[in-house]
Amino acid sequence: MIEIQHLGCSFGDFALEDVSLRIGKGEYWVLLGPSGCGKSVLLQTIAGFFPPTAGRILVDGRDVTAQAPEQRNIGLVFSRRRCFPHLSVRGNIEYGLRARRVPAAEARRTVDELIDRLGLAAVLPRPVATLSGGEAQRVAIARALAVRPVLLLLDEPLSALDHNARLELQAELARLHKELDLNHAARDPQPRRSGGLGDFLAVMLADG
Amino acid sequence: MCPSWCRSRWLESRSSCCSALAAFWAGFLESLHLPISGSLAGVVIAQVFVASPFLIKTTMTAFESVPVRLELASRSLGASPAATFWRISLPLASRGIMVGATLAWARAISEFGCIVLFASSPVTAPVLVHTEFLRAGVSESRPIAVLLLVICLWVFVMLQFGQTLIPFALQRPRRERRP
Repeated sequence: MIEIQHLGCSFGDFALEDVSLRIGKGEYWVLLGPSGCGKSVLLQTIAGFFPPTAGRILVDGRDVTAQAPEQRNIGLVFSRRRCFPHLSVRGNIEYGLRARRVPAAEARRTVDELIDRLGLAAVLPRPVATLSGGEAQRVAIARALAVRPVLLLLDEPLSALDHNARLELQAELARLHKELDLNHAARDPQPRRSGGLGDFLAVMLADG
Repeated sequence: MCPSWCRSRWLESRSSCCSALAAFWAGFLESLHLPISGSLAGVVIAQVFVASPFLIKTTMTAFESVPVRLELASRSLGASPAATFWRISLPLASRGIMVGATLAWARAISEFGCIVLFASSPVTAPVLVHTEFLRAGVSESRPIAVLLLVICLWVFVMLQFGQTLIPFALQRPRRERRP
């Protein structure tokens, strides 16, 4: 279980105040809110890239608020600039496993399983720069899933995709969520588009 | 747009400033009894002095152009800041660094004023062009100047090839391992 208690984060004129959220095991949350209300900041604060000015983040009762991003085991997938352009598709997916020094045989098995699960076999020989938006997003999701994160944060996972790719990825995310029993928190600026994406909605409000 | 006379005045002032600084450092190092002036080390120091801004500036720009999101993604996958630098930032900035290094090298090889003042021996190509011109005129200095020109042209061509070839090389997928 991931628990966010009265989280606050501020820099310059911007301030994120008193955000509390409890994500139970296997739950799929969608974060909604007007532009500029701090959805991305919240995701990046949970991932550890912004130091919170108040509150705590608990993962299975363990306080990770002061931990570095690489120690939290929280996955983060962005909508743009998703894949490492200088690595192959396989290199992208196994990146986290290599960073964690997972034995080569185990890493290969995990990567092969994710390639099968996400249907990426056809794009393996292609340079990352030539992948379509949906394919690149699937590679980025596979890369994040390879390290078995306790929470997967998706920052606008469906933006920058055309209608068909969006529908496909939406179904893919729902299927993965069920199969892998993941905790998800996705951020989407368009409420209409988020319908059916997750099981729970969290709405952030902009003050002023 | 800066007028041409203004640019030439700026270049003149920059050049004289470099020369004055070089003379100052030469004097300073000599006062410390370090045999820099007139040695290979002196030539290298003078060339580094005039060329390093090209490398530093382009390297800074190259690192600034690396998308922050890729570095964040790397760290969220468990890579430390150092590992992120070696595996993500440096490879993605390498093209810019290579361009900067080539420009700096081209700048260093063509440096004349600073080397003449700081360490005129061993003789570098631009200094040799100058001394041969003074000794025997254009006919003797021309072959060396042409050689310098060919080297600079070759560097320019390699730079253009490098810019088109390197991104492709970086993106080329590695051969898949057989199960």
